[in-house]
Amino acid sequence: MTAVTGESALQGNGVLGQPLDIREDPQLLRGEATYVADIDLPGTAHMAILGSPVAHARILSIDTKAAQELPGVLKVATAADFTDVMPLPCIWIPGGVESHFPPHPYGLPGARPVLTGDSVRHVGDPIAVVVAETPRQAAAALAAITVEYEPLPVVTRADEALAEGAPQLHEAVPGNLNAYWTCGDKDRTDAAIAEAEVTVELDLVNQRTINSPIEPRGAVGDYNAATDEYTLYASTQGPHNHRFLLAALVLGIPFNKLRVIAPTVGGSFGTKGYLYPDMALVLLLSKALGRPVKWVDTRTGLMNSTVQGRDHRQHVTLAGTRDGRITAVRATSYANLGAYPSTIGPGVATALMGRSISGMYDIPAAFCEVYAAFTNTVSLGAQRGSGRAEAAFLMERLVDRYAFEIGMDPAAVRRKNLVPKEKFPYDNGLGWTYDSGDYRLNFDRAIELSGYADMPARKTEARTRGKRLGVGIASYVAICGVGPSTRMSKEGMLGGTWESANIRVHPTGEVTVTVGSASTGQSHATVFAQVAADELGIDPAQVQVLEGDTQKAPYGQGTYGSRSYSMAAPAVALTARKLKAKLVKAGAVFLGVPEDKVVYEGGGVHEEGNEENAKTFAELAMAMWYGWGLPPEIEPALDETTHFDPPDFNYPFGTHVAVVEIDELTGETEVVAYTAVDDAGNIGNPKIVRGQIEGSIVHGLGQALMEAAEYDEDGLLISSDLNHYALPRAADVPFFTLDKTTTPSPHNPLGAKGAGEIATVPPAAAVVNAVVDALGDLGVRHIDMPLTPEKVWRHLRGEAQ
Amino acid sequence: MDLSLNVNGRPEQFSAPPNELLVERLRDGLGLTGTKVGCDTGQCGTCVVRIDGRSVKSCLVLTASAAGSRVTTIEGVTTLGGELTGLQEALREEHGTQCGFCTPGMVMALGELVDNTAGREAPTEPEIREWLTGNLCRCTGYHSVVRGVQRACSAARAGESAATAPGQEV
Amino acid sequence: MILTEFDYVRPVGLEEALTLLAGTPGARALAGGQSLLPDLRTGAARARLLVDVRHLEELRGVETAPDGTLRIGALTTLAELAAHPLVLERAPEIAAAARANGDPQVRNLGTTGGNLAATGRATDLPVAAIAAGAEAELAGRHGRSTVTAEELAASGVPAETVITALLVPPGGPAGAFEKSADRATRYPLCASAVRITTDGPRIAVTGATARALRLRGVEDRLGAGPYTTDNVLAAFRAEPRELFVPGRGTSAEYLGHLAGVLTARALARAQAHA
Repeated sequence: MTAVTGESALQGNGVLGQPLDIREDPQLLRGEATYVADIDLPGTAHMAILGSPVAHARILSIDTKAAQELPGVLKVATAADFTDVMPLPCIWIPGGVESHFPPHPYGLPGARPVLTGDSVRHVGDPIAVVVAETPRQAAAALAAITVEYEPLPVVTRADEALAEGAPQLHEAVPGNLNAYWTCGDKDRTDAAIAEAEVTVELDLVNQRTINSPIEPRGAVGDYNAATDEYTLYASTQGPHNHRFLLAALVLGIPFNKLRVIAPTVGGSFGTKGYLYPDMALVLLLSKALGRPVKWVDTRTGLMNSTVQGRDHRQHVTLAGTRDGRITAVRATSYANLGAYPSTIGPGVATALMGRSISGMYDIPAAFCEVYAAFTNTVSLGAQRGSGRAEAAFLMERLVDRYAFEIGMDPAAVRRKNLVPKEKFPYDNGLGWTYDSGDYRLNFDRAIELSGYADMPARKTEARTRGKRLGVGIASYVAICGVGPSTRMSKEGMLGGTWESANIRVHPTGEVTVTVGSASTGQSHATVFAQVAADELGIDPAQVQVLEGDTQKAPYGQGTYGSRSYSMAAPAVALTARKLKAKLVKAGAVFLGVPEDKVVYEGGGVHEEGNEENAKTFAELAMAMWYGWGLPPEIEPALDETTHFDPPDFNYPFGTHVAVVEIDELTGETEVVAYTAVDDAGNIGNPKIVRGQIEGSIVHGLGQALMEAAEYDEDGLLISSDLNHYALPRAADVPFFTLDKTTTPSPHNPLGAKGAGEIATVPPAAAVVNAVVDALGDLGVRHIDMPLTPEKVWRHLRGEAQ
Repeated sequence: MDLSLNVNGRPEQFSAPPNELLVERLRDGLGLTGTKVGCDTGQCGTCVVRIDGRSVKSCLVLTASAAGSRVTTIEGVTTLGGELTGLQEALREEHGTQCGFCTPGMVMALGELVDNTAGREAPTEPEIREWLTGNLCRCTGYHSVVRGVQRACSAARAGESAATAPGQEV
Repeated sequence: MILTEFDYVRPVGLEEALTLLAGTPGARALAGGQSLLPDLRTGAARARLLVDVRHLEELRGVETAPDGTLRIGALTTLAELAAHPLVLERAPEIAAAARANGDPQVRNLGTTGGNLAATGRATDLPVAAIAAGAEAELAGRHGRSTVTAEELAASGVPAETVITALLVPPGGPAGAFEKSADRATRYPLCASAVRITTDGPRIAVTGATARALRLRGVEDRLGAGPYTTDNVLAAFRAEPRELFVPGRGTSAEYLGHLAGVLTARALARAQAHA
């Protein structure tokens, strides 16, 4: 595909869907973008946070005297300094079930205090802060703080945390159980399994992984005593959300006294939508010191404080007929929430996973139960594909296990059970109603493109090279477009989940689009300009896009769950349509013809059948700016806002096929080919989506092959830096074979579905399926991730069955 | 210690502690924040700059040890808002960046590869991927970057453009 | 990103460097710094004074002595070493080991001497130097001396001395290096270097063993060959079990096996080139 520049796409209609060059890129390529660590306000002081070195202990004493006396130290603070600050809240409670949380004064579920005073509950739990003139002085002072601990027993696994006699983390949470949550029909599922011709079961560990955006988090607080106003600059996915949570539920200050600005954000993958203590601390300390206060995390700090992902231990069962018809699926999952409930972690671990387990298949009976438990580990949160990836993993592993059991080709089993096209909208029996799809078209395309039929021959050929070749399929449906606010309230979400856009047409005809979302690398400015330009029929080059500043942008929720293009972009389109409608009304006045004779085209209006009687976009903009001659029912100026709350979610889907080769002597697994056919509905800019798909797949491959957050028995995170936590590198992956199918969603005016993270959902399952396929004749039925060479080698040798 | 360093063609003189890393000098001392910090262990590559033409990680070099050298940072590759180099243009065409945090380090590291290519065989895909070992990216999965480098190298080989700006000696 | 405190000095010549190293408690030589600086950050290494030898021109460059010995200056960077025509031709195991190191940026600063002298982790060059039958030239206040690469790996660089050169005897293309890299650090999980000589193979491994080690037992068992994978693996299995040590997340058993596989592959490659 060749890129289209703004110039040649001048006609507007048709701009959307084109692979326009990304307007953010030149600035990024020149290193000119400002990230939070690059902000240097005059008079800035630097904050450092003392995290607990132990995973579970009572704090007996904290001595800060020596630290206070060190050069450059402006302030040392502990929990005792912030007794009037409320704890951070948790705003996604598993819906419809009894749940237990630490308390928050507003009767909400509480998460964690800004600094812990009584006990530490994970390594990295913040105990004290230092503010000093320089980062070096702050770091030196941290080392001079003495804390006395009384060690408590440690638990790091969810299933173990629920056992009798396990260490208790929170007084308010008996037995460490946050919630026992279920979805689906238990009786029917149990009955179907009991009556089934064939059942297969697996015990799965979906290991904890660390999101690892390349930019660690950071925050700058700037309190203005003259106006009593606070400004927070933070690496955030949702500045409005953070403003609301911090002002109303943590600091207890008027909403209009806090402004939150997201500068350029260096990747997030879920992590930067969460509320963290540092965000409140820089504001509080800026007020206390009368200076801007800046904090930038280190990599090890990130790994011990920023939310981590996945972490389910599961027992799963699939039932079916001998001829390949799936009749039931059941999952029991132990979800590890970490030491404190993160902002939305409990919902991620329950609903996002549980309701998604049936995937692309039409299954008569399904049931999922989740035990969400607290342990002495970093809090759990979202991670690219969160919940849905765990669901796809268990389902796709089960399908392969079942296919093997009945001696059928895994592709044939899948094909037989796909939800048929005519069944949409499809109620999956677990709480989701799939909006639209042609799963067979998508599935067949992926299978064909992957050369699936040639695999037996390729396996034989590989053996001549000392390699075992395996092929693994994984299909998925990934709920996106969170979402319908009322529906989300039933899931336990304490907040509206709509999205917004404002468009202003300036007197000279340029346009500014402002959205409530905030990019963390998704090229919003490019694609939202395309949406506005396409609707208005103007050149995208004349459309400016702003976001990320609560003072400028209309209220919105931010970027998460691949929602911006199916939530914010529709808001842009609807706003543009409001403007067009107004221009048609006003055009009737300016052209002196009845409204039904006004044609809006190419950004301007003309009289039907008389293109001479016309006004260009710029002329209309100026005329509306002056407002001369407008009747009372038409307001001057062109400035419209939309708050878009969709009727339901959207459900992108896809099929991935991984081909691996295993070195028979070393057990090393290499992904040698990877095919992905994803369906994200109508796409705004294929260049952006292609990049997101590619990156998402590599992220998923990382979990399959190398990534694991490992805690030792004392709760120490062993993999706490990039020397101990491997991320995929360029040489770890081949080029992929990508294609798409397009099934528009009926739930938004663009027919869009989520795209950003969806391709992270199936790769782990596809790769494990491929490896098990390669080793199937050795009796291997499952291998837990990550698929390290030694683990695979032991299976090659017939051990560890 | 009193030190001097040539950064992006400008002589800089300053006093720095012996244990200061070059990345600290560039970002905090000289305000050249295009060079990033993403890890504490020399793995991520966001701090890559070029010293006397060679790409290096500025978190693994003492300022004192770099003294007397010619250092080029991302700010020295183009002017503010200026025309992109051949490599940057190729990366832009392939959308080899998303959040952009790893991008300056990648541009600096890959600049050496593309410069080395001038007039020679273009590097193979495995060679490009190997060259990227020192740069971590979580957004793109590297593919668009690799395609960008392939594009830039074939241009560089043909002598159409180089990684560095015209007239810029790195 | 904050290092522990130390002083820094940049001597103008080797003699001054040696005087500084000998005369200052806690002094350490700084060459490329690619492992020393991270270690100074984590506290794995300590220094009161860093003597920066990186700029000593006298320790750079690759040349051939009259007897055919390749003299590789200790400050020759790994990038230079990996690409040097003489090294590629006469000691391909050394070029390959240099090439396998870290990433381009680490190779641009990391030095031959630094890689040979590294402690606390397995590095790539020592096994290649052992297989090549190389010696390290050392300089101290009391003059120069040489030590075999094998001895150097066993006892480390003596106090108050620096490596000035790697001396590689006349060789040829019959050497090879194989590595399985740790996914996170790129240091060897296990590496093997071999050279096939008229007396049989010379074989050294690292990562799987407590330090870079020449495996004479394996060499003797393999003798003149044939070096089939089965033979090589059997020769490794005959080594005492305690020779192999566990790595991070890997068992001694697996690493011992991996060392055999890598050695078999290196031997096959060396034979193909011979």
